[in-house]
Amino acid sequence: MNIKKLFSNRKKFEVTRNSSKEEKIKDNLEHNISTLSSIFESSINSDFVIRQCDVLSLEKKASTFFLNGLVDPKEIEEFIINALTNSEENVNKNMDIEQLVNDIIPIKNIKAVSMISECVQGLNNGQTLLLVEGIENGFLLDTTKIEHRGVETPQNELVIKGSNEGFVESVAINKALIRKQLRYEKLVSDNVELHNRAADSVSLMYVNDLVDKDVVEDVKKRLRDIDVDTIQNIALLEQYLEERPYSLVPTILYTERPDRVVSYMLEGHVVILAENSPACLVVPVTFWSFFHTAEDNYQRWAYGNFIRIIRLLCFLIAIVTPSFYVAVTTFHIEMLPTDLALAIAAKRETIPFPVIVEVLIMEVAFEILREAGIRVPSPIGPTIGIVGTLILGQAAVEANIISPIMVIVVAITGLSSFAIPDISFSFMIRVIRFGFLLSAAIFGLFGIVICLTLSVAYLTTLHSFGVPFLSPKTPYNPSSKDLIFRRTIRKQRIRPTNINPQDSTRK
Amino acid sequence: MKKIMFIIPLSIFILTGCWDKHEIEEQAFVVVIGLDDSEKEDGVSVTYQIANPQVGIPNTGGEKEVASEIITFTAPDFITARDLANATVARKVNFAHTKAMVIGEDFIRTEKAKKFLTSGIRDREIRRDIQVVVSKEKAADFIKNNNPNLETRPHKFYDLMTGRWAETGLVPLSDLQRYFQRIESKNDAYLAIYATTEKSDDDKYGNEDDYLPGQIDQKGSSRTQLIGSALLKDGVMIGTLTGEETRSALNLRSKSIAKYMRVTYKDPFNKKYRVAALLTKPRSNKIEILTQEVTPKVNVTIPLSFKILAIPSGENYVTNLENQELLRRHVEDTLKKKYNELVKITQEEYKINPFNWSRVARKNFLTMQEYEEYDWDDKYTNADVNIKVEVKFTGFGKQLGPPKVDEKDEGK
Repeated sequence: MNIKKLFSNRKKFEVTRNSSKEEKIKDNLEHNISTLSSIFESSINSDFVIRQCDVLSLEKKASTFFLNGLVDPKEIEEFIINALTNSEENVNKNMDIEQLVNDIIPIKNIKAVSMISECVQGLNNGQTLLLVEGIENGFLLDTTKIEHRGVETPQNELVIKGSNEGFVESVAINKALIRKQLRYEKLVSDNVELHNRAADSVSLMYVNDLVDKDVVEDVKKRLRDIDVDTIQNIALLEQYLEERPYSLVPTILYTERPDRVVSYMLEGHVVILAENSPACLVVPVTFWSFFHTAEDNYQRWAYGNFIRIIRLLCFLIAIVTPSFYVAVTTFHIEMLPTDLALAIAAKRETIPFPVIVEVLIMEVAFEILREAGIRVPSPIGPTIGIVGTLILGQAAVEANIISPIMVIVVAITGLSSFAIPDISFSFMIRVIRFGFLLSAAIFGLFGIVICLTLSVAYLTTLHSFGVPFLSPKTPYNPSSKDLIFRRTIRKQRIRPTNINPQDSTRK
Repeated sequence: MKKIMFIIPLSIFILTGCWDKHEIEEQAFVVVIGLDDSEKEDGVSVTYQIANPQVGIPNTGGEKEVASEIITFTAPDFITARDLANATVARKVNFAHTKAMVIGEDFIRTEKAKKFLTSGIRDREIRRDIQVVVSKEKAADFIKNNNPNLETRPHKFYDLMTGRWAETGLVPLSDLQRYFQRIESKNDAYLAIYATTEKSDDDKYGNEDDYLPGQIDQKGSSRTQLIGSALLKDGVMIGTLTGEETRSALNLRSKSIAKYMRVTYKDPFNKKYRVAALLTKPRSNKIEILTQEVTPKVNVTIPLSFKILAIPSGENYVTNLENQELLRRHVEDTLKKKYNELVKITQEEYKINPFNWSRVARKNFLTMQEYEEYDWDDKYTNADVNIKVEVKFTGFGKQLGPPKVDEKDEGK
């Protein structure tokens, strides 16, 4: 009953709100003030400020409106209020009023608007609205100043060699970081207004003479289809954009490195930026984007490929090791060297559980430790380490619940999963590991092979914004072969053509 | 539809799989299988040596236990015997880690042994790389008496010992796979490792390799000796080869097998001493068998490289090229003589070749029928074998000559 009421209330509210928003600005200042006051609930909203004054040079009354917290108060005081009230110059009264305002107010950007809705949006974005008595136009003055962090090192995508700037929670700064790295006239930032209650604005950045226009249209269409109150940040936007919300495999790249974004834009990808997110999204992406890091190309050819080999190994170890251990010790004992088989058997003689239970206990314990390590408040952080090592490493073994070889298996698995660069991919691997484990416990190595085959088969069916997930490997497209291994920088002359760039050679 | 999509994969998991699963600690790993004749007509005396996993592993409580359990009993064959073994052993008997199969000499000399051995081929767990060891005494006694002091676990001894063939050539490579192969091909003899734990009465001094097991006059606690080989024709033992003969046999085979053999030869100048050398076969032999004639002709060229290790006589074979040539020819002659003797024994006594030459002879025939008609086995006994040894010096050691010895001590 209550819920129903809530809904009906909301509907009514929306109707009134929309009707007043669609009004035009009237030449009656008092009327305009009351309209805006009611929209912004000025009776209870203390952040909504209306400052009235007389404009001497025009000999007219005027009002300025702004939202505290989004504007720079100093700028309003100095360049707007001061300019309006103290102006004693003789101005040509015959001039167009727009031109007059432009002349009087020394501020970087002034936009004339005629609709209330435009005013509301401008105010919500930190602009100051100037309404003058007798004029059917409003002026949005750019006074935006939103607090945000300073530019810092990326939190998740660290490199040893290369730039250490990461995105912050401000689109303006993020765009600046990108432009700083790619000073090219064809780099455009295309704003898309979402059709939702808060009228969020999302920016697409791409290199206009490289990007696949169809992808841009596809992204825009998906953005326009979003129909919710507000998109708080890019992490939520990612989930609204992706094709398969239930899939374990991510199809949109989330990165916090401007240099990485620039390299993607140069390959013809589209970058999505939104407010309040210290990262941006890259589409379309393939399997390899999640496998690579920024550093792979910064390090010299041999070093870069070396870390790629290590990472590939980590992939396999993180997915397969626990299940391989289970399969070999319960189904394929002949595979083990005799000494190892005897050593495992000796240590397991006093363990009360079957191997699979033993593995599950340790894997779950490790996942708990990992989750707890993230959630724990930092002052008691070190406890996690102590408790974790004691429980996982020593006590469990001494209490004969876990065999010491199990500790090695889980430790190497955990370590390998840390070496996977992308957080989404890391999650994916942590989850499918349990699937592999179950299958190995039932079918042995046969089960592991089935799981691997199914996984690869599934990956081939995926698409990210129309691009096959495993391309350009399969299906094959010409590219610089920067897949598992990379060639020397000098030989990377072709853009990956699976992305459909307008120009396939880099020059 | 959704329900079906869920039930099908679920039933795959529930209805299949899992039944082969055995936890590793619930299994008994048979490391060595011993086979002897039993009094029963249709039975065989089986010995299992089962490794105790906990021995040698700290903090398991097994440090004071014995390294292995040895059980012997009579059973219809060594595969089904594992169920019988469960009367005393509480774990599932597993052959996946069996290293060696020890067969008593008395038993392997009968046709019966061959039948029991070949019947094991069907079992999934029997590995083809199990080493076949023929023991002079009963296999059960050999396994019981074999107590190597260096190895804590029993399998390690067999693992290492049977692997030594690749370097010394004193014993042949004799795995089960080759045993089966020779039985199928019929025309080549199979060489099995010959061993004993008992001291032989006919002690002798045979330089570095001319021994049968038990003949080496060694002092020390372990009495086990693996040297030389048992010669099996069609899976049945018919004779023995000493360590030296085994080396010669391996060298006469086409492929290069032993990596290096340390050998000595009589010093051609000073009969009191012997020259020590490292003998390796760098390439495969060149073997040519002419089967057009009634008596086949076999031409074998054996390339050998020769690295001098020690010249106790002090003769100069290093810088004096004449002497060097003399030594080379002497070694060639000695080897040729030895090889010829061995070939003669196999032709006259055993009437089968242990050199895998039938493979070369086969190449001369277009069809299997032609080859079978030719009867290589019979022809070999009369074959005209021509052996050529090509010795090449490849090194004279780290130092060209030893420090000068007093004149008067020299040459006495």
